[in-house]
Amino acid sequence: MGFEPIFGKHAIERCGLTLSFNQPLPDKAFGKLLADTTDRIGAEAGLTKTQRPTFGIKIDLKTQSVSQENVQPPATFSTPDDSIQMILMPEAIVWLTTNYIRWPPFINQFKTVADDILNTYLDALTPTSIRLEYWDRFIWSGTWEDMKPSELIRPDSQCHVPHALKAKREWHSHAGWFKYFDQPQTGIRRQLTNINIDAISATRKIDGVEKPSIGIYTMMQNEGTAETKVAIFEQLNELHFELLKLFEEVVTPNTADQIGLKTGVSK
Amino acid sequence: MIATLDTTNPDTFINYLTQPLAQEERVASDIVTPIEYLIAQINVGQITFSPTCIASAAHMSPTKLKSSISTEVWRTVALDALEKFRHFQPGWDGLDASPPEPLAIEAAETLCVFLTPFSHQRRPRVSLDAFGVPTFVISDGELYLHLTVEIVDGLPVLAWYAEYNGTEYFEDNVAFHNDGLPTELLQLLLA
Repeated sequence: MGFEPIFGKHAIERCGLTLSFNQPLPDKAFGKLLADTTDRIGAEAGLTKTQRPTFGIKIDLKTQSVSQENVQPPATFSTPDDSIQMILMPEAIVWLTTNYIRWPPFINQFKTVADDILNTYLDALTPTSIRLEYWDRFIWSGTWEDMKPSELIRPDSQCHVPHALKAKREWHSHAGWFKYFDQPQTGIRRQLTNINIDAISATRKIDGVEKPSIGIYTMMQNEGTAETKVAIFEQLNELHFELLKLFEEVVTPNTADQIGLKTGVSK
Repeated sequence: MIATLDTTNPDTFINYLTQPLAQEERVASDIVTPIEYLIAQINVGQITFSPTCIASAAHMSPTKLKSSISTEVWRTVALDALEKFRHFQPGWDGLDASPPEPLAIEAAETLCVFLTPFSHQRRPRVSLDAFGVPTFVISDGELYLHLTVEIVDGLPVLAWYAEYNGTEYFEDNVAFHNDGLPTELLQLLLA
């Protein structure tokens, strides 16, 4: 019995990055960006635009009236199977994949696809937060009664609630903290870290048997400024490196070996 | 002699679709779409999107959901095959076949990321030839593609021969930069 990464050699179900800006792009500029982008990234990257209905509600606290408000809908560009999505909003860019095996193809593809798009945002706006997130999942081959979370999670890790590992059924451990920086030249004012660990039931499709599973969500977000593309990608590479170290602090050395954490096979 | 080991032939692929991998999907998803669970619900006519997965799944049509599940299956099978190839020794075919270069296997794994998102018919079979070169082949009646990835001067390069609508396409020594498929190759896969 033991924990198995959900994809055999690696456990990453999803990875995403988000760049948030200090204010929204003006409607006209955002509309032009979408018009210029749609055909280009369809041909160059195979990402096509999908429309989703969006509406806003405006609540006036003084009069207690509720009215509909026109909002600029986000544009989602995705591969035919939705495994890669880029969501453009007037004040943010999101890049998500459920098709992750290593960092270089993930970040390089974003860098290539979003190059011109980033130019448009950076001409007018300044990024104020840069976030990188990973969702990993491991399946226990036994039952809740014999599940040993300590085979996956380091018991001495400071990143979870200690008594959660002793729970016999579903449990959640959510932790997070800010780290403040005193060196303003880096542009990073503070860094948020989140480590959410969730033990939940899963159904094995092959025989319909429910199995315990443990999901590990790790996230780091820099808050501050990054004036250039170079600075943005430097921060993303640094966040990736920091998240690697963080994940290694969360899981046991055996698990780190199993998913090639030290050799860079999966992360 | 060219010998290939092919673990992703169409029959295997269909078997994987009808009998999913021994891989579990959570019931109570708080993070991602439990895609196989949704497919099962669709197939028995009981599709009920739970509030927790609406955000990521509600916009997807059943066709797209099925495409997503086959994405996961194809990628898993292809990466498993490449992992097996990684450990092949000289003479692995019983004759004089070469083992693959580790860098070529790594580049082929990365290629899998970029070859995954297309329709079921456009998912290639993954093989290794007797020269130790990872090879991807599509033959779906419309498109024939033979794509190889080799290491030249320490860097991955692609070569392909394709036939589509009676026209032949050939490219050699195309640098592979880990940032997506070359545009010409992408256009063939999207055709």
